[in-house]
Amino acid sequence: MNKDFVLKIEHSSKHFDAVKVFEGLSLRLNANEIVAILGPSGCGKSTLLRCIVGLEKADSGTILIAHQRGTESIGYLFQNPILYPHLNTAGNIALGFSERLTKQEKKNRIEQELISVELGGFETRAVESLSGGEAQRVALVRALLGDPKVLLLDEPFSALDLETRRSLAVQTRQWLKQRSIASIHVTHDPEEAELIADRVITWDSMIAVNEEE
Amino acid sequence: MFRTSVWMLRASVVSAYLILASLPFIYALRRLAYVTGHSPFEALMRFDEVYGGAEALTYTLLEASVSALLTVLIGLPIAWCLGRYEWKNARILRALFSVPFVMPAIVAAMGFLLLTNSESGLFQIGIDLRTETGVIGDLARLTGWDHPGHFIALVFAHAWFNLSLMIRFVEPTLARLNPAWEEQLSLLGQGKNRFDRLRHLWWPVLGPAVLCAASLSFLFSFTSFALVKWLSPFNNTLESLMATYGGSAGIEDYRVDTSEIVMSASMVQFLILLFALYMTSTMQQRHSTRFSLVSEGNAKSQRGPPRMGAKIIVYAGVVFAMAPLFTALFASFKVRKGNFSSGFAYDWSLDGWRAAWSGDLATMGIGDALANSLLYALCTLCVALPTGWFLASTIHALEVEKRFKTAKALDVLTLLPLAVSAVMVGLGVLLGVLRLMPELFQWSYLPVVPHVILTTPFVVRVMLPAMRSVEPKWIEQAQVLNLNRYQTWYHGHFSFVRGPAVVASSLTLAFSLGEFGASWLLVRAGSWDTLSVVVDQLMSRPKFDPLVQPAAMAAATVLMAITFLLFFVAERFRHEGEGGGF
Repeated sequence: MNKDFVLKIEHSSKHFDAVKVFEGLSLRLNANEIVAILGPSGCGKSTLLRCIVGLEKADSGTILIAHQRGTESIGYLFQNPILYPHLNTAGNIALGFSERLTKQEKKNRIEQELISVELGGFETRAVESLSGGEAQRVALVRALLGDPKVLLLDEPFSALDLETRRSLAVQTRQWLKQRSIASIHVTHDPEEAELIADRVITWDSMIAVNEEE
Repeated sequence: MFRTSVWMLRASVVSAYLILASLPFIYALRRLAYVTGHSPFEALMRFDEVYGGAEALTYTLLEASVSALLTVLIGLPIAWCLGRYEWKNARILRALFSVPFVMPAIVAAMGFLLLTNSESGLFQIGIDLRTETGVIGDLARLTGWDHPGHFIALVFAHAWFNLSLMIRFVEPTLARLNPAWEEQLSLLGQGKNRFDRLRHLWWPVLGPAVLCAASLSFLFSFTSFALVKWLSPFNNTLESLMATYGGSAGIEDYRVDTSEIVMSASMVQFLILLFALYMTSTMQQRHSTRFSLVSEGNAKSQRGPPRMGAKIIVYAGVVFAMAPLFTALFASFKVRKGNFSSGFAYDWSLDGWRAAWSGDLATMGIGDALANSLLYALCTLCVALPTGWFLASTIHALEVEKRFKTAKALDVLTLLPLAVSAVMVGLGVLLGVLRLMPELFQWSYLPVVPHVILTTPFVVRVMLPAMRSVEPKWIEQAQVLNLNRYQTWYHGHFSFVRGPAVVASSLTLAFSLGEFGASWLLVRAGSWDTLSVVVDQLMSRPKFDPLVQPAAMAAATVLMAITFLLFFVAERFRHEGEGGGF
């Protein structure tokens, strides 16, 4: 495994007023590595991801992002896929482009990406007609278009049925590996964590010890 | 059997209302066509020959468009700041911003007259919007523009009046939009800067609401009467043109030209308002509810308390919303002393209130006028609320049965009275009564008829969204509990629409109390003047008597106080995040 880190968190803490969310938390994510963080609901996993991507600010400690684009090199997949209902599937995916492309180039790229996640021909579909699994795959494609070096997965399959959840976890792992994208996947399901990750760590262990050493 | 009876009852109420709402307009047109010898279509074609018609149309279109634009420019930043941040006193702020819309136009007119007169702060800093000296006079001379000061005062008064439309339409969506939608976009390539987020998120979410509020502002500014009559007395709008000539219109062989003016103007106005209503209805449909909404507290807590800029915008807005009303209140206690030769001074006293209360030979006391106004408002409520409720429930029942086209058609038809000006409704009732039953003209409850026609659409607009939001599961749950039909209706339906019904009742009372255009045409007999007519009568007098203005302001203050009271009752029953403009 490549031991260059893409993300390093050291002794990070976060409080909401008097309520402690996490304290002294450390984590290292290596290039091309998929790490699953296992923890019960409400323990602060999502807040950690929000701090990494810059939606929240950690109170103390450091969050180092190796890539020069900083937080812009990080993609994020929410628990519930957020697809804008005034746009169709292709329109939603197009929001992910960070580079300037012609209309035709965008169209071709979207077609290819949809085929790669087994949603070929879905370009003009209304997003409200997509199933939970399809919607999450569209959100994934959109996140990947921004060419992220790290993708944060905030329990993206938790709202799906067991069978879809498992198959999407396996497929997502393949897609991430094909594109050499490192990822942090937070979940409370140990089986899902095993299916997707190279390394599974528990929430408590991140606080108890400085796990990267 | 029960179902058939319900549908028959619905059909009768709908038919009765549609006949009542359309008859005055049809009668007015028929009578005018008879007197002038022209069909409505010919009258429309001859509009350019009508004396003062083209000028009135140009002025109306200009003032309504500028008023709508100004409403957006003033209202949108306030709605944005109010919706984006966690305000400690959000409920009070919302109520304060909504007050102008339910204030009688005559009260607003009085407030703006005071804000622009020679003793106002604006005049002191050189902005003379009434007599147009100083900067405004220079502007008039340089541009050749007649009465720019009056125009500016009028469009600001309209923006003041319609401010709450923008806030009611835009702010609830903004306040409850799931913050994750914005966060998600900010993490994507096409959402990195504010302009991109405006293009991809804010405009699709808020654009239809903004356009809907703007088109309603246009509509209300287009048909505004009291504000035009008082703030822009030298320029006619189509509405004031019709009101001016309405008194002598419809009389055979007498001033046929006035009948031609009223008929042509009413046809042009009807077509333009119909188009504006169509735009409003289309925008309202597009006003998206598809975006994920969360509780207001949840959404705002993530954005935190307001910053200094937001505070300045919102509190400046509060001053703007309250200024005309407080000015009218203070003016009711301010009595002029002295004369032209010795100069004027002012005293604070209750003399204006005493004069207003006792009345005189020419004007009714405000106690009696208030009793008339309240009586008319209560009668209006007794008819408009059940009628509006039935209309809304019929539209909703049609939607449930997936007869969407019929539902849409009925929805638009209930809006039609808004496309006919209050003056035209009053004139229609007047002419219809004179033709059918002239003795009814002595019937003191006659003003209730136009008030019902004009307030029922507002009841429908409040009740219909409430009915749409009641989920079938509540009725189903009541049914499986073996409750009887009335208990099922009470627990599964009525308990959810009770709050909106109180809101609709308060608004109906408020609109009826403040209604001016139709009442002005109908109640000139003198014995059943309403409070809004008394304000107008008092202000129309020469101001040699120092008590005229304070008495008019006292009457306006009573009207304002009652409307305030009704409105705060309504606010207590309004659900969180309820939009829709009314």
